Amino acid sequence: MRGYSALEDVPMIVPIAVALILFFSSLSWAIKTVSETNQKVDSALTVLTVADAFAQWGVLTKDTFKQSCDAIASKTKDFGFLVFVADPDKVPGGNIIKNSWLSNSKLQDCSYLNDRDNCCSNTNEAPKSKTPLYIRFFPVVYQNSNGVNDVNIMVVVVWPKG
Amino acid sequence: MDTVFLILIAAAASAILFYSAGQYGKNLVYQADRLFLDYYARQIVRVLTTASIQPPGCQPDYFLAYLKEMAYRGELSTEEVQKNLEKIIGKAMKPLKGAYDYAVVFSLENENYMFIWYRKAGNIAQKSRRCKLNDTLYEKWVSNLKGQVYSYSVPLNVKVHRGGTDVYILMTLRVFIWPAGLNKPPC
Repeated sequence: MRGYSALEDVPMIVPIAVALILFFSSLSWAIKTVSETNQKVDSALTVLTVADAFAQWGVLTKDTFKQSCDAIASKTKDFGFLVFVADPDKVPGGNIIKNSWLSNSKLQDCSYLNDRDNCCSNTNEAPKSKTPLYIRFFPVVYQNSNGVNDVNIMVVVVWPKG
Repeated sequence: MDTVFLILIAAAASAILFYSAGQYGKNLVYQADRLFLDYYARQIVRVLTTASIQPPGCQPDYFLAYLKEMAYRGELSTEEVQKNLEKIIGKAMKPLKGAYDYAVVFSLENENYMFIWYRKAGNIAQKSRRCKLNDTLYEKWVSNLKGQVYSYSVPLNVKVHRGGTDVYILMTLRVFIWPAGLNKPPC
């Protein structure tokens, strides 16, 4: 004798619908995750490209900083960036990522920084408030007005445009 | 029973997709972060070879020139070199200081002069130490390094006094960076 199963009373469409919902929702989640990951990796590569445009000199001066700024600003299309050189004592320590140190509203251009000679930006538009920022710090040598090569920290901020 | 199998297959397919996407993302982001730290180690070396120092009572000079002078005198493993090195690398490592330990090694003629800033596992306070190691001990320390270690080195030409004459030999400057607390000095 065959036993009775409660599943026999469930319409066929229900489990098919459940299966389809499960499948497509996980697929869309996977696509979204991969897309976000690609953006993170592209941002990471852009940070390094921008940083190297300045760091390749070995010793940065006011003139070489400007030359690098002009060169890299014209090459970076899909990302906005802001680069400036800071005193190590004014840079937060303890972690390579400090997203709270800079806020999106301050990144319109370099005007909020006191020393605009050491600031470079490729856009006049501030990132939107929910745009993720990728901030990295790199040590560089910057030659001061007395000809002494000081150790400074180059701050590179990159964000996706659009 | 067919419908049960259908649901099970759908659930398994979803789980595989979730896991694969998650792993792919995690691995890529991890690789991207490693690039930063590789580049950071390279920058530390650039900074060490171009920065200026000002020893007390002296005019500013390149740290590299000072280092070569100390190599000529045979005084690489001294407190003075450690203090001057600390002035530069302390600033350069400021953004990473809380999370990473580091070492600088000058290698020449089978001698390795190590300056290391490290934490003991679980401790916040960072200590510093300097050691002079032969090649065997140095290579053993390098091969036993734990965690993800980022390193960069450059060759330098230095003048030393041997057998009554000055000769130029190769010195290697190497920087190591690793997560805080994972490695201790070899001496």
